[in-house]
Amino acid sequence: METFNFLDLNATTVVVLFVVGFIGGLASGFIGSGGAFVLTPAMMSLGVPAIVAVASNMAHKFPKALVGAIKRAKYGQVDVKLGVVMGLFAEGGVFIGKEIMTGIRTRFGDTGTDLYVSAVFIVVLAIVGTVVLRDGLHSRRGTTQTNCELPRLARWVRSIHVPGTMMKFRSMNDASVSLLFVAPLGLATGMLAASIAVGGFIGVPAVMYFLGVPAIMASATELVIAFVMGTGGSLFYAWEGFVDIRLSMIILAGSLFGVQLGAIGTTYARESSVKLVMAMIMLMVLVSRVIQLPVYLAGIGMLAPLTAATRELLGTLSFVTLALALIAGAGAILATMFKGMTEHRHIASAVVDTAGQSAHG
Amino acid sequence: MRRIVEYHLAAFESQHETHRSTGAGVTIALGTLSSSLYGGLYAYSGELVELAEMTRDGEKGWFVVPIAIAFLFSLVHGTFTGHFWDLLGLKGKH
Repeated sequence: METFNFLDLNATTVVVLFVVGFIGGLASGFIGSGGAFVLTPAMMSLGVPAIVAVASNMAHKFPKALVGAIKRAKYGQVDVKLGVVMGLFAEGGVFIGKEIMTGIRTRFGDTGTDLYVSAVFIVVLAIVGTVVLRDGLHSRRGTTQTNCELPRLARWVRSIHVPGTMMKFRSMNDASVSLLFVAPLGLATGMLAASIAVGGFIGVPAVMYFLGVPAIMASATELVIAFVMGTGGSLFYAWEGFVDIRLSMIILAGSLFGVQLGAIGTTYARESSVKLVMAMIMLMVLVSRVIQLPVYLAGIGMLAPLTAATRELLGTLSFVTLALALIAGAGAILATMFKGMTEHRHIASAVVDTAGQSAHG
Repeated sequence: MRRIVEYHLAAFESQHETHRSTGAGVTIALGTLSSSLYGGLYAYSGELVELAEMTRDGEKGWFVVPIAIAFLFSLVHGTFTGHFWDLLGLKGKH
């Protein structure tokens, strides 16, 4: 049996994991995506084998998702029914995804799983990131009426009535949607979550564009899905002994600060802001993963072997790009929040002044 | 109109003040508890790595340990972090 070591922790690793956890949590609380799209590559950049990164990420994701979901439910943003229904199907998807992941590891080793994780990341980030970016730009330029319109795909989905499968959901203004649409979306979220520990990247845009759920509710409801399947996935991976709980809890230390703050930020943000921040982070992480791709391809013999210097250069560039993605994302979220809070205070004090003037007038 | 607005502002502020003063004590207590948990995690770091290895080697009963740890930390640290931001005045817009 292949020898297998958990990462040796030092002060730098702990600090990096805490900070990355905080920023991942901030992203998760704001855009609903687990922050795993930064955490999984960040852990891999620190030298954690892909399967341990995915497993440990899951074990931190479900507690963080629980805390985030509770916080956002207090703001009325969560569709619990949709979250639970999709979460249950996502559990099935998690099982399938986990089988794929351990199968690849058995056949191709850690390099194989690193390549698989990166390849899936690149495809998903490229497609979804571009779609969300275009939509975010349209939302920002559009009129209020445009923002209220359902995406064409969602209109079609809602027009399909299959007797015996229809369910009403609060986040869709109590529209009835067939379970035959909701179930595959949940399944796909789970499969992606279990293989690369990122479900929100499919889950949030999927419910936005296929079901017509508004971005803020989509991102909040995703936290319920993340909790349900995160718990299941973590149980599976813990059973296999791949969860490094030390990593999970260090990340959780930072991410619980971040997720609460991100959730608060959404109450001050517009739909277009949420979409644009989502797209920006996704596309920057995409670049980071593309840079690292030749290293994995060479590792399994699909490319000519690289020199050690080249491998190191690519690794550093990839890590720097990821760091920039994190910092830019965190900056954008905090800026949106503080701008919103300042505007809110100005409006509040203007109301008081106006009330005072009219009382004296 | 002005009186109504002032009344509501005063009520909000007094609630806020009371919440803050009891909040500080609770926040510090929770922060201390959370720090203790992390101290324990550091102290038993080696044992936790061994437990995972034992689980991989077939002693499956140990799988509950990381899950239980995750729930415990999320309860304590999750409550602490919520109070923390509250204490700093960072609250959601209702």
